[in-house]
Order: sequence, then C-alpha cells, then structure tokens
Amino acid sequence: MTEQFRKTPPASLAPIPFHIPQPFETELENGLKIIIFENKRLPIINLRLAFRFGEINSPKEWRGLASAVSSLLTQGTENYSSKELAEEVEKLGASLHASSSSDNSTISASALTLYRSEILRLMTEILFKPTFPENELNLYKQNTIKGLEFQRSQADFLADEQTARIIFGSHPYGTVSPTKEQVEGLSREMLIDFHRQKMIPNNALLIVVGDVDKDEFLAELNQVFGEWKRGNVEKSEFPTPPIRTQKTLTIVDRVGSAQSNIVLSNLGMERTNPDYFPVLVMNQILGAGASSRLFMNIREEKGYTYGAYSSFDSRRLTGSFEATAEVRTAVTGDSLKEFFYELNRIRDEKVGENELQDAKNFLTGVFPIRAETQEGLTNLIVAQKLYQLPDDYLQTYRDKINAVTIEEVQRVANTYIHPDKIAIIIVGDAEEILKQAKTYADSIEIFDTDGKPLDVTKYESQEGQLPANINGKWEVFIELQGQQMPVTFELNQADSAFTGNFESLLGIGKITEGTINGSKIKGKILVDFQGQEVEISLNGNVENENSIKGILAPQMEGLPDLPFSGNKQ
Amino acid sequence: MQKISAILFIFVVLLVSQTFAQVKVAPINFKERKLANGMRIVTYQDNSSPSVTIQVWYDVGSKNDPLKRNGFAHLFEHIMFKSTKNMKSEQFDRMTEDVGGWNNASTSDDVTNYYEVVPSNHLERLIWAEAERMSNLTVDEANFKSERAVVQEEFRQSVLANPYGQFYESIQKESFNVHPYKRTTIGTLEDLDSATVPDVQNFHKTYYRPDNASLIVVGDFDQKQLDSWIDKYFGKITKPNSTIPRVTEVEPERTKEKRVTVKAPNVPLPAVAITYLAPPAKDKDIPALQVASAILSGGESSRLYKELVRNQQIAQDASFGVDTKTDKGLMYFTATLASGKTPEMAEKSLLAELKKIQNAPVTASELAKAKNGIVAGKVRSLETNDGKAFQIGSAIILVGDPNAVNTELGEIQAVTIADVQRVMKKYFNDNNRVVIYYVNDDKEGK
Repeated sequence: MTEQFRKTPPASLAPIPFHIPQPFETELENGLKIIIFENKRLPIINLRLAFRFGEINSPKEWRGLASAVSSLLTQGTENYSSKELAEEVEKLGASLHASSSSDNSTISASALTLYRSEILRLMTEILFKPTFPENELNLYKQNTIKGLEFQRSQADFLADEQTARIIFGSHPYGTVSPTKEQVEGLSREMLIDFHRQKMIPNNALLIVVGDVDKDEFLAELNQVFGEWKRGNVEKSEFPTPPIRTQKTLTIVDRVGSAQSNIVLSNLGMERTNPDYFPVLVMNQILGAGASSRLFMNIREEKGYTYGAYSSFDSRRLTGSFEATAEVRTAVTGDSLKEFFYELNRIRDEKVGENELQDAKNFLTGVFPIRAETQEGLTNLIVAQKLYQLPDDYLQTYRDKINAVTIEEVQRVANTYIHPDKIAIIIVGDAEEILKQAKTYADSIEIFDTDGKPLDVTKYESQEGQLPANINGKWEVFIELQGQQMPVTFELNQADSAFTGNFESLLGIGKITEGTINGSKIKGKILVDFQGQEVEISLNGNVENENSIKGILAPQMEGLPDLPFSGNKQ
Repeated sequence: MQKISAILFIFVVLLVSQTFAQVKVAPINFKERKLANGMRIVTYQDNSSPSVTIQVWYDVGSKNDPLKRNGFAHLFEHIMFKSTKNMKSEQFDRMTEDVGGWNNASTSDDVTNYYEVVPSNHLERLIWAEAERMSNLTVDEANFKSERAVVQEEFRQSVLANPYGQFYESIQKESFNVHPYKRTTIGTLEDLDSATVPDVQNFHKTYYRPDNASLIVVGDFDQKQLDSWIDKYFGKITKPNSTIPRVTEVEPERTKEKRVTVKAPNVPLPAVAITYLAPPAKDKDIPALQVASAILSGGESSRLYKELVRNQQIAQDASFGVDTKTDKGLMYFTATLASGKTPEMAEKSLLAELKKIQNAPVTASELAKAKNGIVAGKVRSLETNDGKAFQIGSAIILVGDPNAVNTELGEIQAVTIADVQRVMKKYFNDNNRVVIYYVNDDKEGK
C-alpha cells in the first residue's frame, strides 16, 4: 500500500474555545445564595444545597457528628419513615442524597423537570423536618462501627490515617475517622442541636442546573426557602499543623505483607491559593497521570508497581502533597530512591517545553469533558462558590492553565515539595521495610494496625533469639469484606521448622516449609480451591506466646492480602 | 354495561395522565450515509462543548465465536488494543488519556464496540487510529499469549472466584437449546487455550471489514471536515469479496418445562432462576415488558422486593429482568435465598407474583412509577456525547435502525395497564419455563 497518510497520525488542531455562560446569582433576605444555570437541552434538573460546614466543625470530642447528621437526614422525617421517603423518591424516578466531607455538607437531588416541585418539596422535607429516629441512629451506629473495623484491614486506610496525623497534627484535618467510642456516644439530641445550629441559610448556597425557567423557579424557591431562619455562623479556631524540620519514617506493621504501601507527604496549600494553577501543571508533569514522570520511572522503566502517582489535596484551610505507590516489599528501598530522585529533579531542573505542553493539553482537554453532564457542571460551580473563587473562575480556567510558565513550575515545586523534610509513611512488613528504608529518614516510628506505637528496637535483627513455641491448634480470623472468617491452623514444630494442617471455608490444605525466626513464622499453604491447587503464603508474628497476627497472601493474581489475627487454643 | 366500562376507562385514563404527564426530548437529528465500501456512518453535530466521541460498532459478537473457540470474540477485542502496522501497542491510551479523554471497548452476544472520548481538536487522529486497526491490525505471538492470559484471569475472577459466577453462566447455557446464545461471552478456559494467532488473523479478515461496521461520531465537529476525514481514512479501505457468515439458527419456542439443578462449590446461599424466551429487541411488545420488569423489580418499592425480601423474608434479593438481544433473548426471575429458606419456597413465591401480574391489572401509580424510572434513566443517558452515541449504536445493532433512539421514549410512555397484563400473559406459561436451582456442592460432606 502506498497510502502515505496512514504512516503517522495526523496532527491535532488548535484547541477549540469553551464558553461557559455566567449563571444567574441572587441572595434571599435570609442570606441563602441562589445560583441558577439554565440549560434546556434535556428535561431534567440538578439541585445542590451546599453548606460551608463539614466534619472539621464537629466538636473535637465528637468526630463524625457532621457525617451522622447528613446520613440521617434521609432516614426519617415528620411526614415519612426512611422507607416511605425512599419510595416517594423512587416514584418520581428521581434521586436525593445528603453527605458531609471535611469542609462541606451537601444535599443533592436530581429529577425530571416535570417533577421539579415534588423533588424540591422532598428536599425541604429532609432539610426542615428530619426527626433522627432512635432506631435509625442505632442502625447507623452499627453500620459505621462495622465500617471502622473493616477499614483497619485495608492498607490504604492505614496509610491515610497515619499521613493525616503526621501532616496535620491536632488540626481537625489530622483525624480521618471517629473512634468506636465516639460513634457509640452519639445521641439523638446532639444530632438535633447540630442540625439546628449548622444548617442555616446564611451559610449555604443553592445551585440549580438544568431545564428551568429562571424567574418562575426563583419564585418557587422564594416560597420554599423564604421562611428559613438565619442563624449564627460561628467562627472556628483551629490549631496550626506542625512545622516539619526533618525526614521521618512511619511504618504500620503488617507482618508478611507482600506489598509496601508507600506515601511521601508534606503540607500543601489551601484551595484559594493563587499558586493553584501552576501547582496543577507542575503536579501533572510530576505524577498525576500514566504519562507523568513518577509512573514512567517507577512503573514503566523499573516495573516496581502497577502505578505511582502524586497529588495535591487542597482544602479550605490548608492541604497536603502526596506521592504514592504500592510496590513489592523487596523493592521498597529502591522505590524510595526513585521517588526522591523525581521529587528533587522537579525542583532542581527546569521541565521541558514538551512536557509543559503535554500537561497543559491534558488539563485543558479534560475540563470540558468534566463539565459535560449537569452533575459535572454542578460540581465545578459548587467548588467555585463554596471556596469563594473569582466570578470568572470557570470562564478563565483554561487560560490560566495555558499561562503557566516553565519558571513558575520550578518555583512552585520548590515552594510546595520538600524532600529534605518529607514524611515517609509505609504500610507493610516492618522488619523488611526497616532494613531497606531506614537510611532515608532522620527518625523512625512503628505502629500496629490498631494505631498503637510499637518498640522500634524490637524490629532490629531477631538473630540469636530462641524460636517461639507454636506447637498446637490456633483459632484465627480473617477480615474478608467486612466479615470475620474463622480459620484453624494445626502446627507441628521441630526446633525452628514446622508443618501443619489448614482448615477454612475456602478449603482445607497442608502447611509446608514452615520456619520460625524468633517470633516470626513463615510457611506455605497448599489449598484445593475448586479443583485448582492454590498456594497461599503464611506470615505471622507470635506475640506474648499465645496470640498471633499476620497475613495470608494467596499467590493468585488479583486476590488481595488477607490479614488475620487470633489465639492458640 | 358498555357505558359503565367506558366511564371506567375514562376515569383510569384521567388518573394515569394526572400522575404521568408526557416527557418529550428533542430528537437527535443525526446524519446517516453509507460509504462505497458498505460502511455505515452516523454523525450528530453538537458544538456546545469542545469534545467528541468516536465509536465503531462491529456487527459481530460472541454468538459468532468460531467452532470450539468459545470466548474468541471477546479475546479478539483485547487484541485490538495491540499493535497495527503503524501504531504501537496501547497507543490508543496515549492518544486519548494523555489529552484528557478516555477509551474502552466491550463485547456482548451480538456486538463488539470500540469507543473514545477526546477534546474535539483531536478528532482526526482518532478517525485515523480506528481506520488503522480496522485495516492494518498486526499481532505477534507474545502479545497474543499475554492477552489470552489476561482474559483467562478475567474468567477465573468473574466465574470461578465468584460464588455466583456459575449461576449466571447456567442461566444462559440452560436457556437456549439451538441458538449460539447458549455460549457465554467470556467462553471457556479450554477453548481459549486452543486459540491461535492464525485464528486471530482469520477472525479479523472475516468480520472486521467496512461493510460489517458502523462509525458513530457525536459532538463538536465541522460536518464537511469530518466527512472528508471519514472518506480519506475509512473510504479507502477495500471491501472483501467474501460474504459475512451470519447466525442462522433459530431458537424454537419451548413446549414443556425444564428443570435443572446446578451445583457449585462455596455457594453461601442457594439461588433460583426461572427463565423464559423474550421476543427479539425490535418487537413491539418489548416496551411493555420493560415496564413490567420495573414494576416487578425496580428498587425497594417494587413488588418482588416488598413481597419476597421484606414481607415473606424468603430471599435476600429478588429480581426480574428483560435481556433483549437481536434474536430472541431472555427474561428471567432470580432470587438469592435468605438463610434457612429452600429453593422450592422461592420458586413458589416468584411464580405467585407472576400469576398476580397476569391475573390482575397493575395500579396506575405502579405504572407511573415504572415509567418515571425508565424515562429518567433514558433521559440521563442522553446527557453526554458518548451516551447519545451508545443509544444510536444499540439501536443499529438491536433494532436495525438508528432512528429507534428517537422513538423509544414515546413507546415507553405509551404503555398502558392493559399492555402490561397482555404481554405478561402472552410470554409466560407453565410449559415454557426453565427452572434452575443453584446449590452448594458439598462433596466434602462438610
């Protein structure tokens, strides 16, 4: 074939402008801001009532209160039980949800335009007349506590928990979830009070996107929200996050984990910071995508992991920078070396012209695609208004990205990324990690999966220690999708070696090649799983003679590590 | 008598129209043409946002898997992301994800589709790339083997590792006698193992040709410019002289009940399925069957949930679905039992619900709720360029006419209470069902 035009892809054209019209804005006498974005392409509307309060405004001793209030808004009102309310929404083919994040709380609804008045009525029903029924509160507590227990088996939660604590300290951003006791202690009265104090019009805005006639709908909104009484917006004072002075290493020990979840983090910036756009571009080059530097280096070149990324989480008061990867335990140290190489490189060297242009192409290209649905556009407007960004924020978004220079990229890399004072957080096998990672940090701490600090010196070499006595029958439990699955080990020990039997719902099997090194045990389990033999590696740590904690790692792609713990019978 | 029923009729009409006013959507005024090589082109220009979707729908699916190659159409879909004469492996990801877009593909019984969403200044590049993989696919042994391993892993995850994987397989396998729909899209490990690189080349030659494909472009473009790109990159691909093999088997109507018990390991709670043949997707009874499906199993206020899950507490979940296909498809009830309940109990309750909807008209508010749910879902699916293109592609493959995308909403809204009762009587009886009990295989004897 002599078709030359098939040899190389044609060039892209110049980017095409994107016009987002300015929405209509007004404010009711009670202070409720209303933003209406008429869009008559389809007969549907999206409503979002957003409040400038979130989990950080929960009292320190009652973390989780804001989320509890939001979750229970839809679980019972003066006129409907939770089931009846769900049925009312279903009847319309509509949706209605409420939730809280750390900074904000929202009630979201969407419906066919035909049912705009009905969905508005249901929205105000949960806003003005929630009853927070005792039985629903109890159910919420049960489910939340189950969730708290489950998340301790997830490596990424453990990494997030430590990262937040280290970066934000006693600032409320430093706590990612309430304790079991705090959830248990929530009372109906606390929810009612918090709802009354916080869900007030003068700290809220309502965003309407879709097929409405502005004037007509505004009149309806006036009627529905006009009587809503103002409240006091309390100014909250928060402790400042700690100032970092050195490189620290924090390990969460999961004995025998095949993977290390690595996070490198330092304080970032608040959402309204004027450096937001240069940082967006810089981070795109560094690690936001699958063609960014971290991914190209740590995954494509070195093959240590499926993915390596960086991100800035910029919130109302401050924020954080994170670079992350899940890598095989054996290459934990090698991965850190590459992370530091890339974090230093983006500070020390100017980025290339092409890299800069690629980053801009991505960021300006993805923006209109995100704004394509009513929901997507609502998300953008909500963020703009909640964080009080400039009025032309959406209209000038792409221009601001295109204006970022190579010099600015280097400047913000130096302002917001600090390899010499960075916090390294790794969830995985502490003994292995310590060997490989300790040279990267000035100080080291180790925690267990419950967040309890452990003695670092215990993790230095275990050579010379007598092997633990593990002979006998052990009853342990695996955390599996929020359920506890019982498993039995029958172990026969001979000095520092052992064999045994394995019994579980997954099947029964033989334990072979077991070794004991001090308190650490290692072995191989062969299980018959639906006619296939599956190998599971067993790793554990014997604590005070008769309790054990560890990980079962099925050697089958796609299956997760299964943490277990239990006791000798 | 006649007078009374007329009054009753008017009363019902009024009641229905009160709770359900008509929702109208502006028609998608797409342009349709055919290239000289037989390729169907459907384009719809919408310049409201500078993004565009490019989709190629091939009229081939797992029903066309070659003999002893069950799972091949799907495996082939994976191969289409590998190299071509002028493209590197995975270059589609770079051409889409790196500029803010995305891409994917899927295989079902009737169709294989490939799609991209990109900022509209990249449109020509993707037209080039899709034409490239239609005409210049190259495949080497290493790529083939690695992709086959990926698909086999997908099989292990979705069928073997999932305790209900074999349940859903059995619904399809046991429900068809003659039609190749009796084979599943994911296929079997043995058949995938015996597939070879020459199979790939042969499959590409047989089905991946312009006269077996539809190109759908929706979004921001200039019509003249787009047409010239299509002519340049696709128009010059030659149409082979061979004829395209088609499925000719016709699934016969069922004449007596069939009962099957399927055993699988590690089934936590037994499940039951009762299946019936559905009319082809283009049949005029489909909208009424879809409304019936929503009344029986749309959400927690539906009949099956209220009765089997909440009131009788026989099942953890219960549903009724209509799986429409180009030829006769399937309609089936399923229930996963509650702890301590037997499959017999669930079967009895499901059939009782069937009798109920056959013997008495549904209420006006049930009808309105069902329609609202379906209509709202369909309208939402039209919000994005790719959503519109998907609706057009499905209409081409399932109904044989892209314009079905503009009539579906009206057809759903026109369904009456009488229609629902009529279709539930027409397609369901005691002699045309397949009943499947899915239970734990406790060969270990606990």
